[in-house]
Amino acid sequence: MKTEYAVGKIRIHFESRGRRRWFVALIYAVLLVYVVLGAFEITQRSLNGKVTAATAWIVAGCVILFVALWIVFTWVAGDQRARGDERETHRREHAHFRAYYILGYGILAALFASFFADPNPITPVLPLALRTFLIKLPQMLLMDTFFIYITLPQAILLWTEPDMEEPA
Amino acid sequence: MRAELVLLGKRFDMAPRARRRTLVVLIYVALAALMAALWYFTHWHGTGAWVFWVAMLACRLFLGGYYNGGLVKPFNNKAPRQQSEMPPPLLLLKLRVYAPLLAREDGSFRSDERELHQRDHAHYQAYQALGIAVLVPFFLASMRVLRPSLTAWIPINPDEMYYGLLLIALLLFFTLPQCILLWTEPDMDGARN
Repeated sequence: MKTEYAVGKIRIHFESRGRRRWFVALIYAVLLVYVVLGAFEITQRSLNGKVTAATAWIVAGCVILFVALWIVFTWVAGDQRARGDERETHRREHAHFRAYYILGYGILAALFASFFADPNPITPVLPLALRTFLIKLPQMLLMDTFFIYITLPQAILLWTEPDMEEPA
Repeated sequence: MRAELVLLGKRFDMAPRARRRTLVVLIYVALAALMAALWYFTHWHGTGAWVFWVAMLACRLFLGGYYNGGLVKPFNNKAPRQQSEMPPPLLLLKLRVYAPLLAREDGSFRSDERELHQRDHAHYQAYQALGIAVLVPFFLASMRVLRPSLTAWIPINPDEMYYGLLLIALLLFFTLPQCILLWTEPDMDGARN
């Protein structure tokens, strides 16, 4: 794990666990906004064939912000495939062990949600907007699972690693 | 990891790695055959859950990891929940599939440090494979929305294909870490050559 991120002359320090946790919370907050608005956009597009300009701009903004944060995030967490020392390797593998189950629950949720995409007795009695949302739900959940896959082990590492010593 | 499998009252020596590898291959062949048969007869409509239950049964009887039964010790490293003094039910006695009751102080369910490292490493490897299993249906579903013509050549109904790929991902989720452990663990002490 790295302790700082430098952009030109600006250096962001990540030795403090509190700061790393704020960073993880920020990236997941952006992701949450993106996921909610993305679901709204997909439903709206399916219903009307188009979305409002405001929604499209906010979704695009979230994507850009998420990608920018994700670049910093993966840099700070370090290469997950690199061979580090024994302690580092063990911590990384333990983070994957913890993330594995959440990834599995995402797959399970997407699988159960595909019930709504098939003919079923529930969706026909629901309002059109909700029905459209439920039909698109498996795909949305799969997309969310993909985001979990690319972020969660690193997030667990950043969240759990104790305060580090600042370089002299 | 346990070196012996008790099935229908018979004891199978699973210390040699070759036997464990054969078991892993047989389990995946059986699961693939089940999925193919269910697709052929029902296109997984209403029968997809069977795959889930068969995977659970494979974990319970052979693989372990999530249950006290099977070759791999419980991943959560905790004592089994059912610690009743009651004897096993008659049905299980007749079928000879009951597991011996473990006392809470009996540490045979508990993994040592080396086993915990192996467990984490197996999950690390399984995580990569599971990611690919998520990416494939996600990619196909996205292609279907963005460029439907690119997926039109596939002879299976897209919804069925999507469902089948998710079922495969779920099977991998339930079985892959245990199978990696069984596949990679070398011959145990006392293994016959």
